[in-house]
Amino acid sequence: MESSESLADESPQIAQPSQLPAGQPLSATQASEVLREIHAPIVMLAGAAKAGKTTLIASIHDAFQRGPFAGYLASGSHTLMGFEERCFDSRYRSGAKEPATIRTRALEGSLYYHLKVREKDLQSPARQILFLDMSGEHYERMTDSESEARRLAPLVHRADHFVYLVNGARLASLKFRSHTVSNASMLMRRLFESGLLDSSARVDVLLTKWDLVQLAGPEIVREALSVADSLFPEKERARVARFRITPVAARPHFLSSLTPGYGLQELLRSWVEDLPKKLLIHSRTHSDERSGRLFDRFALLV
Amino acid sequence: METLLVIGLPETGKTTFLAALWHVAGSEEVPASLRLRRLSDDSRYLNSIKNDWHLCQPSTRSIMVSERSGKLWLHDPGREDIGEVVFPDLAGEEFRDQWKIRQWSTDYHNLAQTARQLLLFVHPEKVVEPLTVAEVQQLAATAFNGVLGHGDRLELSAQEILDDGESALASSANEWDPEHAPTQVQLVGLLQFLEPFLVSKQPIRIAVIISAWDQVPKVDGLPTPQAWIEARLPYLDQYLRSNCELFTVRVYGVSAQGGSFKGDTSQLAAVQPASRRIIIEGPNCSPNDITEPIRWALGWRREDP
Repeated sequence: MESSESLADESPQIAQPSQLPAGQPLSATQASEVLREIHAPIVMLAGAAKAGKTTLIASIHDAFQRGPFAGYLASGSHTLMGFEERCFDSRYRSGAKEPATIRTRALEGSLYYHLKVREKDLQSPARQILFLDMSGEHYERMTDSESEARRLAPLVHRADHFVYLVNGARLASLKFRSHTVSNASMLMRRLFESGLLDSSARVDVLLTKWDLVQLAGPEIVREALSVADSLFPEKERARVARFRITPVAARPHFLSSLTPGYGLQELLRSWVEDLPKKLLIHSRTHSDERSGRLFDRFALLV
Repeated sequence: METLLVIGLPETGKTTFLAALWHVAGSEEVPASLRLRRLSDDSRYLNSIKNDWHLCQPSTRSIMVSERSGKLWLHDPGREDIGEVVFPDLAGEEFRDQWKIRQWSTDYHNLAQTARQLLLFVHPEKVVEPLTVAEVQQLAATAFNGVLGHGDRLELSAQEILDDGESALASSANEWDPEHAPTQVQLVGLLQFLEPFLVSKQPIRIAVIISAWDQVPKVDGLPTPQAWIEARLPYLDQYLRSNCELFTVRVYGVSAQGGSFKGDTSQLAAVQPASRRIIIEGPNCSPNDITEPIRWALGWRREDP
């Protein structure tokens, strides 16, 4: 023992390389550190497995690969490696025949993706945003169990925007519609009955994979919109500070005329620019936002 | 003494640039260029790469990584400016490993602390694009006038389209590796590592060098180097523009070799004087003056902001 210590003392000092930030999605603790330094809205993405939560996050990063997006310049990210890993299966270099996204597993817990953006005119400082992604299994369990809902309550309450992704293609499909409607309706009910969504909540319902709905034809589009409208009754919309339904296509099928990130530009601006939830005045004057029927916005959205 | 931090992924032209710089500064063949005030104590590495450059052959890289550093005593003949410029010629693998393994050496850490100017190298033929599967499918469909991969889909009923999209489970043939990330993302990642060191120096000058500029197809002189970055590396361009408090940027297109070192290089090697081989395009660039990015980065061109 003594001799080995002596040898160690005599050996030349080898400089240790410095470890650099991993660039992977942040844990809750790491996200808290970011939030201590700067204000960043948290966008919580909820929805069943394969609803497209991770794809949506990856597609926003990917959109900036082609130029400014939603009027913003990409200004950096603490989670570049995480974004890239999630984009890989949709990239040509993956060798995949069809685009895909690796699934977020329940064991990974809550993962925060960080994005820094700045207005193109550079007149204001850069803004930051955190996207919270969790496995769809958590939301399925929440539907099944009040205690699971209570466990997730702090996350939902802390989020500045609660974004619920409903698979639009399944909503439009006769085969999957009743299953999708039933599950979406049960989850929303649980969220309200457990008090997770209250009058301060800002809710966005995203109808994902809208490119497939659009490819199926205008009749199907109308039908899907109608189903989505009836899925979220007026009385539920009135219980939160803001309720919007938006068809989106994060990564459209190659035959679709929709552009990548379809529907996400206005949403991203809203998520970045809106006042933080804690500063939001609980005003009931925004009845126009809450009661805006989807059909009324159809011409603008599709 | 000024230290220029030189950043570039593997094979992006860093060494060839340094070789041509050493030749131009020493030969005084280019009227407006910076000049070599005096030889450095140890010019072994610089002379070695310069010899390769003269013979139009790739750098032999026989010298140890730790010794790949050029110290140039430069001065501007039209002005009082003079300084010793350290040009550490780090291997591109150092930067690849920073991105991939998330480590950097102590030497690099020290360089990052002292450097007040950056040179960032990009090679147009080494760019990993963010091309998606959908974009390739679309290109193929367009190329084959809708025949390839198109027919089956169109024959599906509306409900089959919706259900088919659901059942499509893709599997990648290749495994994820950080090197698959687009070049522009990797470069932003490398620059982000430096951000903590830049806050007290801001804004820092960064000269972006697009190597092998002679190989970039141009029509009527377009694109310019700045336009090329905007078009080919828009993510890097956005990052640099939106962090204007950290970076002041100039973009230069440079062919330090003047042509390809592959095949018959006798014509290239025969160009006299040898500096005439060099092609450079960018703000305030005189013909063949490869020292201009250095002059600007050092702040020796005072009329520039």
